[in-house]
Amino acid sequence: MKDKVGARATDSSDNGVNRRDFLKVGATAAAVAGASSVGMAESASAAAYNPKKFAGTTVKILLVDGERDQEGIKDKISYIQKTHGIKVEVTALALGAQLEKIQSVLRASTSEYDIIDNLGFTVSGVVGGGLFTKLNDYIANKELTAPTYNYPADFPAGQLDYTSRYDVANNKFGGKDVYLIPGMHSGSVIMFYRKDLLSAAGIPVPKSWDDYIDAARKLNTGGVSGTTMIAANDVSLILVDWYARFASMGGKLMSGTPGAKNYKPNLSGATAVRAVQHMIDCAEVSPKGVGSFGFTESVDAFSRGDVALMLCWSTIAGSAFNPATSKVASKIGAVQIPGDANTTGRPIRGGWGLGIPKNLPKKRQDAAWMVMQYITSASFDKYQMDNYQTDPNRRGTYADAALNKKYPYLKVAGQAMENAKMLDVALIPECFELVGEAAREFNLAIIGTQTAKQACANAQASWEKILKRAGHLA
Amino acid sequence: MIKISNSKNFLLRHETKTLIGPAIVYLGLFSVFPLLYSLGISFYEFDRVAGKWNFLGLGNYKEILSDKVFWSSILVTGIMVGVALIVEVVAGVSLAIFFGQKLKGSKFVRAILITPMILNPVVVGLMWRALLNPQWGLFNWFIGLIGIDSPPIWLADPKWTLWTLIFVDIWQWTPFIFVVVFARYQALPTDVFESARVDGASPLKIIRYITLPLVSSAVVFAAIFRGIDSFRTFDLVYGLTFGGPGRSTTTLSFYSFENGFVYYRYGFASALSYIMVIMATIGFSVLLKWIPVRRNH
Amino acid sequence: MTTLSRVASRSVSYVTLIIIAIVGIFPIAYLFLLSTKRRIDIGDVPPSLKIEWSVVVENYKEVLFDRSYVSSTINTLIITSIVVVLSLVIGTPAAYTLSRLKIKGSERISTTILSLRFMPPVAVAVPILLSMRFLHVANTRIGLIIPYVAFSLPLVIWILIGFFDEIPTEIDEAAEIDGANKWRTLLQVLLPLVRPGIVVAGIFAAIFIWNEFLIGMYVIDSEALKTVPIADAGLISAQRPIDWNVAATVGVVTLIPLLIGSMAIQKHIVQGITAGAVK
Repeated sequence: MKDKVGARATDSSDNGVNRRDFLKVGATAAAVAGASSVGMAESASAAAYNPKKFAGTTVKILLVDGERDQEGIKDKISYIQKTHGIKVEVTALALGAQLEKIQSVLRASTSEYDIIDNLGFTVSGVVGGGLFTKLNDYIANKELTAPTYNYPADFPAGQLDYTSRYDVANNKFGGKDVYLIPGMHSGSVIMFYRKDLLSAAGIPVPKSWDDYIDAARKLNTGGVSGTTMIAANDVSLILVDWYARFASMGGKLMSGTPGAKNYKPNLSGATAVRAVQHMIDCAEVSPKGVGSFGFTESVDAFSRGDVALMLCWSTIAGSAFNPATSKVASKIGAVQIPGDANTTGRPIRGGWGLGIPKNLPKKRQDAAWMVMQYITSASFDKYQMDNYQTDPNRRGTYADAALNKKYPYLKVAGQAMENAKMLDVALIPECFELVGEAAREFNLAIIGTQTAKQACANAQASWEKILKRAGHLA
Repeated sequence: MIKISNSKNFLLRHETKTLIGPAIVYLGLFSVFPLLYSLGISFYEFDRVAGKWNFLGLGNYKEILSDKVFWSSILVTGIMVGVALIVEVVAGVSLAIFFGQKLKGSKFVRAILITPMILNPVVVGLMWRALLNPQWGLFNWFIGLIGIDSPPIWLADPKWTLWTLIFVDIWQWTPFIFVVVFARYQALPTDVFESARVDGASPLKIIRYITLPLVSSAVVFAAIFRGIDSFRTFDLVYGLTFGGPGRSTTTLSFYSFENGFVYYRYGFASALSYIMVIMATIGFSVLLKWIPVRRNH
Repeated sequence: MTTLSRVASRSVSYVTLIIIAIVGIFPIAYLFLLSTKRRIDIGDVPPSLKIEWSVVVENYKEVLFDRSYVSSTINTLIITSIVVVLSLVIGTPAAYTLSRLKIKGSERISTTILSLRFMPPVAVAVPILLSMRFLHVANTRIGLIIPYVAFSLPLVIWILIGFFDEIPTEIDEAAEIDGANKWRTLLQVLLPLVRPGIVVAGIFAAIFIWNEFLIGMYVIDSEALKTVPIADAGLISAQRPIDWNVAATVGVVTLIPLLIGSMAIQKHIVQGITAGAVK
């Protein structure tokens, strides 16, 4: 029964246009799964959940620093010691250092860390390289996995096909084999708006990109800018602002596959140009100097009350809705990003995935799973979200009534996670380089040095050069 | 000169070995070896997915020579190093001479003046990002007081970003030149100045014909060191502009950093660094022919 | 010069001094002020001068303890001191040799040592990281000390060569006549004379090592061993806005010990140099 409900949840999410209210499905799935697995646990004879099976071991976790991923775990170290008898050590490194460390750790004869958190953009490299252990058996193992674990139903389906399941043989995302569990945080892009300004001007919340620019133009008055963007020469320009527009406008970034050497970019097409042009138009009703705005400057401007509309990672919602860090905390709302002509907006899919390195003795792998299923459990997910406002990984957390009361944007963030679209080039290691090049060109267009068409043509040429060099394009 | 007689030759050489040996060995192990290793890497490229190194021969170097960004970064680096160095030397020497006057409280001011170069690079970068913020940066507020009302976007306008970077570099490193020259200046015997003053020479003449020649060795030393360092540093670019907008602030060292540590193209980055070193060595040798670096030679 | 023009020129000098002082102190004052503010106040231009002490306590508490700047400052202090001492111990005899002992190719050796500094840290970072891992000292203080000494040696040797060059060779000859070997000459006769050079070399070496962070970021993993520049890297994150007030607090916390230290050392530099000035 659990499987059927889970399958239904998956189907309705993949069908991007006519969607079920995921809340209902998610909640039902969780309730049914919980009830049935309790029943199953009672009736099972031998294998019962044995949290203390690996008491006396130490498990080392490698996370990224600066996202508060380590905070929840650090709080629960003594709890894990008590319930599992396992000592947990957490290391959090700056992103660059963490990525480099992962490379060396995975290729050593024995991994130094038992659990490693992987940025979504790196999954195709490390998981595709066969460096992580398959987790299917662990998930099914009733002795090592708590009965309430509820994988896969409690996770947004799209996320499972990004930071969880991978088809190593064919170098594709998705499939049946599970190598990672989504964690420590996910993340997508949502739209923040000033309820007071919109209602004062009598403008409804924009649902399409044309509505968006119209609204921004109308609201660009009285010392307030219509909108703001991440328009600086920064990868976030692409990840947050450009891709949100492009993907929602129906754009398809790549055609072909790397393996077949016909992985061709589609940056000079009409949709790409339209997305860049939209950003150029938005720049005219953005704060002066938006071309130098990174993520920080954009959020600051919005939190100070100088901006009416903004697209941003849902993770900053925590601070935007908090009166201690935002002057407009009580006046803002959050919704899904606009779509295009009656379609739902499709923001970028972000997030991380936890995995167990293959180069570990079995006993360490088992103990690692013991800890991993706890830190990706429903109760921990809620704890982490409530205390540190990182983006949840589980549907149950997004739907939790108490949390939603405290954090009104949570439901919207959850919807975004269902709708989000993975960045196509995450499939190849040159991902960062490509995104960086595109950001460089589009930034020049936004500050007025070149037209949208030129920027897209330049970016296209640049991408083709890199892809040819890397051997993905003949 | 020290006479070296034959019987002492062996002893001398043995002693010399113990004197300079440790330094040579240490540098050989931990400076020269990494450099050679790096040279080796420059002929390969690292395949991250397969986890192995592929031999490319001169492939990286060929790619560099045809890379537009490489050539533009040479220009950017040249402008940055050249302009910053000249201004820093002039300002540093002027400050050193200025502080030669015994003014009350100058010790305190001197201590404050060296802060720019001892602040951590990340803090310097963030501080200037804040000061130069187009909305609430104090820099614009300040120049607004003097009447400049519509300043350019310092960190986003390609026409200005390189100059902004140079400005911050000057702010940060003029103290270095100042400290070195000032130290030498203070060590100068005062009688030369006394007699010049007694002879009625004007302050400007004193500076031109006495002070400057006497401190010239310190100036040269400071300029060379600052020149070498500014050729290598990337942390200002990293903190303020990340090489952009476009490629207007991409220096050679930043480009190397970007390729090595952001895109993980270690081979390519090493090749870039080697070309940098070759260029610097050639430039340095040319310079040595013109400027006497050491006095007693 | 007449008394009037003397007074006038001195007034100009003092005014200039004050202007320089203001320009110099402005960034520090800004850091101080920002460190007393909440994140949300960052947009106030110009920032108000009112100071809320509860905010100050919170900011400093976060930097000193939550971000462990107390321990990272201590780490940096330890590492920098050891590096400076080692560089001076190895570098002084080497500079002595290159300055006054006629050995073949000493000119070439000294130029080569200087050119070692040409290499951008980017290129040597990976080999150094690999070597430290190979020696099993990655993620230890030694793993930082070893490359840092290598970085400082060229600078130290070059500064000291300059100072050694100033000392007339007659002193060496006198010592040799008295029967001293090279080591004794160095340690007993020349060392006191070259002490200001040692101080200067040590100070500059310290300044550059104090701020090194590229190698550090990759060699050090554990929280407890982080140096200050590595800890700074945690201020910037791709997914969270920069806490300007915390960054400013970091600036103040890292600056104050250095300022105090430099004011104390200033006296020594000046004393040392003027005392050592060879007539």
